Amino acid sequence: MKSLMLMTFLFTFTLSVFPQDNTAPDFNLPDMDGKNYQLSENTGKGPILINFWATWCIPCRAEMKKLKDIYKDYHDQGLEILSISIDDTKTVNKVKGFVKTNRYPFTILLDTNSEVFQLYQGSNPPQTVLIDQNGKIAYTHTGYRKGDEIKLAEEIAKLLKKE
Amino acid sequence: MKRLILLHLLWLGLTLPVLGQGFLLPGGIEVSGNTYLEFALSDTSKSRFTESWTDLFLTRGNFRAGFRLGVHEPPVSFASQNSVSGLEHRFLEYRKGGFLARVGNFYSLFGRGLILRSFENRTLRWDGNIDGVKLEYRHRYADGQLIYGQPRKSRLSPQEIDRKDPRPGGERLPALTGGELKLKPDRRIGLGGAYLYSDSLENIKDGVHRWSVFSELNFDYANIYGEYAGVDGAGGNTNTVEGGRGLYFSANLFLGDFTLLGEYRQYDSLAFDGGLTNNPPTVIQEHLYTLLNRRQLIQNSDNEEGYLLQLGYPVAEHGVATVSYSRTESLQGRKVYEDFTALYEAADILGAEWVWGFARQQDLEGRYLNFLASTSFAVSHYRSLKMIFEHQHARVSEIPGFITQRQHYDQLLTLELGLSSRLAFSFLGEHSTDQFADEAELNDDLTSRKKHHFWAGGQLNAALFNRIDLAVFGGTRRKGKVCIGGVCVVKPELEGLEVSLTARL
Repeated sequence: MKSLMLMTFLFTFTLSVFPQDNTAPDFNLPDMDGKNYQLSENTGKGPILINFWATWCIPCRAEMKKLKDIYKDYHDQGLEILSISIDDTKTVNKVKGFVKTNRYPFTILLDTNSEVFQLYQGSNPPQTVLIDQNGKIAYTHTGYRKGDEIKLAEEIAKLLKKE
Repeated sequence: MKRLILLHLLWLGLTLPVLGQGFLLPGGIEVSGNTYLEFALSDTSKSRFTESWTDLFLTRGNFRAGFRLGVHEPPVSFASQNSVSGLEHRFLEYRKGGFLARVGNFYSLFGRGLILRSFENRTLRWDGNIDGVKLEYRHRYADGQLIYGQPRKSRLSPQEIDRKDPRPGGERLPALTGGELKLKPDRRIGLGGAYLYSDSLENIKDGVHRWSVFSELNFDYANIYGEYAGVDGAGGNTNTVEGGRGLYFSANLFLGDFTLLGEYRQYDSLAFDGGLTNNPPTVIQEHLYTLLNRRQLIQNSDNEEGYLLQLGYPVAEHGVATVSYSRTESLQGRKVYEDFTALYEAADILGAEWVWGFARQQDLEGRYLNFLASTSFAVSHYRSLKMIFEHQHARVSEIPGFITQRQHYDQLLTLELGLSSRLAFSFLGEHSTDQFADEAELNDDLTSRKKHHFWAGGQLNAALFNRIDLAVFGGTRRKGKVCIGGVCVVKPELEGLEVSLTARL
């Protein structure tokens, strides 16, 4: 129990220490056709929304439907969505079929060993990271519940207004 | 315990200077991190556990250093790992463009994992990092990586579990040396190979050579992947089989709105450290729903072959139907696992999202018929009501083929009320009957032998300050297998409280 108390203290302490506006870590991942995508070559043009998901993740599916609407509303204003699948070697084969069946319009990348997911401190999908025009992390969110898409759209609108 | 306190104090000492200085340390060093805490207070001692770790990352330009302080007291059912605390990860890396150099703890994947896949999965409570050096380069026409290091050992000996001063980073297997090269002469074609040498254990003369060749083809209407792997030399670790082979093949076809997936595998003496240091594809339908997941295949990559066929089709504007069939046999031709699943997912019917599913699973113990229904209503922009109902009828023999069979009828209900995007309450209830199948059918008087079991609990999920996810479960929860990618663990019965807390900072 003492260790538990210590850990809780450690937790609350670290909470107050770290802020959010850090530089988004650079990464290089293949898309569904094997072509590499480098984040640093694409920042600076407009906000980038990174969404980590998996074919087996039930809340991810609900969120991706909403992301489709967000993409429709903001892509013309400069928003890019990078939809990063963390499907591993067991399920990565299902990604392309899943994307085609659901007709997702955004860029799909494959993080088969979850190394970029870990780089972004992910624990459970879905995880959303919004990067501003300067390559800084402006907003992060884990999980999906009804209404999360409203907050996300507000954050995107804020970034687009700053431009 | 003293050591634990000292370590925490040391950690506080290290992080204290950051307080009040924002996110930049002198010298332009950015600080980021996260903290995870999970514990269970239960009447059943077997299910008590504590898991906690704090990650701290320091970044300056292309350089990045990372540290993890962890405290792990796993449940008794995870006793193949010991209770440890201390600095379990540390690394320094340099990234520029497609180049990465890392010294310390890292993860790596060769091909589809037939010879190497080191990975972390907290649900399985498994962290298979390698401690050493990794160099990686990704280019338009070629990707490559070189590694050297010691992978974490998955199953500890009783002496290692009882060690008085366990190593915070876990016990280690002999060192690995290897690399992977993938050529991409055209965006449609990928060709590659990988090689891995593992040092010998004591008393075994030679080390073990693992290799694989693979290729992939990507077209608008099809994706095809094939990999062939071999193991030469005796005794990778606990496995003393002389030589091994593995074949994996998959093809995706996109015909109009239809998507068709076919996969095949044949693994003979391929497991590396019980299949946790390689972990090749299982070629089964992976299930996330609780009752279906409990009956999934525990992969034996030393002696299995199997195939999977899956068909997907978008029905109407917002509906998707998926049908799959998979079958796994031992190399001697004995059926080990079979699964037929049909799922229909639909949105915007009567203003709700729906999932209906049916599955028939069969393993060496018995066969299982499953039905599931899930619906989610949006009460308002922020409020939602979700219900998941799962039913399973199991007919099992504790001794395969034995005449006395038991049958179970299991019902699982999850009701979730989302009050906002940050707060939700759930009720989870399970009911199970257990009876001798034949007696129940033949004689009503014997139905008194039917046993009823109930488990019920409530859960609170909250998102605080946009950084913290809190989940508190109170009540009883049934013991059950949890499987991910052919690796299964048994979650013990819970009678009490389970708390998990994650903060990304």
